[in-house]
Amino acid sequence: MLDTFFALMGGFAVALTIQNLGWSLLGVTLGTMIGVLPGLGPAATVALLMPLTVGLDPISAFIMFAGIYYGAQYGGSTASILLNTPGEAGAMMTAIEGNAMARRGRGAQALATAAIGSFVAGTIATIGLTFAAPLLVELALKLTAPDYFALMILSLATVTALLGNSVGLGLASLFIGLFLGSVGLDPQTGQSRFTFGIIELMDGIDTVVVAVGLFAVGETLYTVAYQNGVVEKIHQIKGSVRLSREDWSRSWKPWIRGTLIGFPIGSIPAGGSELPTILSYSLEKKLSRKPEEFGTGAIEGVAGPEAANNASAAGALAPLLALGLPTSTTAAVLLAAFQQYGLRPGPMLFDSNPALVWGLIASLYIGNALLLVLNLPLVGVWVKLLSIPKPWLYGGILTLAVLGTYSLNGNSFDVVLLCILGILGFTMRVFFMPIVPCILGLILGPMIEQQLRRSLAISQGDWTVFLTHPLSALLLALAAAIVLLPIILQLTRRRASQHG
Amino acid sequence: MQQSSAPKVALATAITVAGGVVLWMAGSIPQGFGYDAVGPSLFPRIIGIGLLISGALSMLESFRPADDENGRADLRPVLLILGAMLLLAAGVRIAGWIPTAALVFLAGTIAFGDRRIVLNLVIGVVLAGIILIAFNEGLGLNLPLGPLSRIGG
Repeated sequence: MLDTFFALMGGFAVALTIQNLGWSLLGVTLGTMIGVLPGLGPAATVALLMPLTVGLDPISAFIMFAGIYYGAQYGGSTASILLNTPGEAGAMMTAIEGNAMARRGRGAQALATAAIGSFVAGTIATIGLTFAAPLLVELALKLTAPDYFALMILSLATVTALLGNSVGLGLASLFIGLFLGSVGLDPQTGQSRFTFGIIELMDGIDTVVVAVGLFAVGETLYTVAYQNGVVEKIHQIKGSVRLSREDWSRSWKPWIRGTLIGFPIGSIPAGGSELPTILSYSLEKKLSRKPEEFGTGAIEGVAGPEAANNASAAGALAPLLALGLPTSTTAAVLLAAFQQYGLRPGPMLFDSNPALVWGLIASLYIGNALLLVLNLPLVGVWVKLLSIPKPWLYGGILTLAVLGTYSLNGNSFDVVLLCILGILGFTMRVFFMPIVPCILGLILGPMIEQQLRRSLAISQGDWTVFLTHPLSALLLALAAAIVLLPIILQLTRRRASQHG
Repeated sequence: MQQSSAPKVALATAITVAGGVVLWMAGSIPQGFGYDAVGPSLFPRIIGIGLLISGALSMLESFRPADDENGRADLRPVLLILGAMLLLAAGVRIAGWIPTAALVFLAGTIAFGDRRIVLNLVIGVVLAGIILIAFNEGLGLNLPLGPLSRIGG
């Protein structure tokens, strides 16, 4: 406990230098700015902004990333409330009540409860992260290769089974991700796999290109193909962003409950913020004294899910930092950023680079406070960004997407890949295929393969190694249950309906 | 008689075929060293089989009546955007970042129905120029200058 406290103070000493404060401020500003653009969620935002940090030393870069990460969450909620364009599944619930409030002229209050709720949830959840991460590190040191393998399989199984309404398409998305992750030279034998004789593919496909292609380009292509001349209405905010006494009393409990739901679920492999925000929304609907208001702009329906969303974002950092295990798409993109700096998140990083880990955690507190200051008085500025005409907006997003991809390695082939992945993202949207399994498969695939081969090397080719380790056996059984249960339910239901 | 939608069947077929191709390609990856319990081709094989299974499942599911529809798609703007991006990929080294990126911006605006071509081309050039200066001067990255490099020396 005391060790953690001192470590955190050390982190603040790193994060509070004028220079790093500046990077944090730049990070939260850019994160909000890009995150507020319609259709761009936190994962796409972090991926788009990654090239900006190339010239920085790792500590400053990750302090900036922390700012971008939290800023993108705030920006996303602004777009959802005023424009009803959630960039990511986690903002969907905020969009329902938030946009309804905006339509009734209470957009300012919706933004305020979202911003303050995000601050409250972000701060509590970051405290949670501060103390949970060292505990997870101790756990991580006890895990063996088969356990890691099983944990990652479980992670992919939950994501695939929980998201989307088609098991087949969810699985397809996952295996496409695993395929993309296996392109390149096999790290252990140097054999080239799926490179089609293209030299640029030898190093593998960059996670940034995949995230930008599937999210930013895919979303743009989908929007342009199906726009049908429909103009979304931006709901201007009227009056000050001040909450009335009633708003406060209806908001604070959902904030706390949202945090308590969001943090733990965010930190387990359950696919990020989608599940906790849905849970929080339905919980608030049940507990509300005015459930009839839900659907027409209930403030609890913004306060709860928004808090859950931010708390789960902080929660996702715990397994990322302590185990090197991403549990959401945004965490997967952050992991790619670590890899770009040659850093491996996990228990060793706490030992080898405490300044980076604790500086990053400390800057989360700072970024969160900066965001509250930035969002309440300056919300008008972000709203202006939303009123940029669509053609300029998407023209700009495309330019940023090409910039982010090309500047990654100064390589034109990456832009060709970006086009291919954009078409893939477009196709996935057309068929309502979930994208999260693909991104997680891409980043977890090579790690799973490594742990699989390591486990089998230790056991000298004996596959029962995964069942003789109790933890690994338990996790694998859980994963199998999560995948097979819905399929079995579906089949029995179909049989029942055929007979009936 | 259950309804099926042709595009979904096509997608399921494509996933299945992709699985077959992956499996076939995995077969030609050479085995690793003799002492390796698992060679480099095992994981690709698993991926191929996984794609086959998910293709089959999608095929089964495509016979379910659909409750999600998109409406009609207009693919021309999609092709326009992709064309501009490929043009950048092909020409950024020679023509430089500014003109190729400006064309990507322009293609985006045309695709979204803005017909003010000259204005948007100017905006694109200014935007690309600002990015170039910020990246090359501020961050020390090198976006290609193209013909401009001869002026700057």
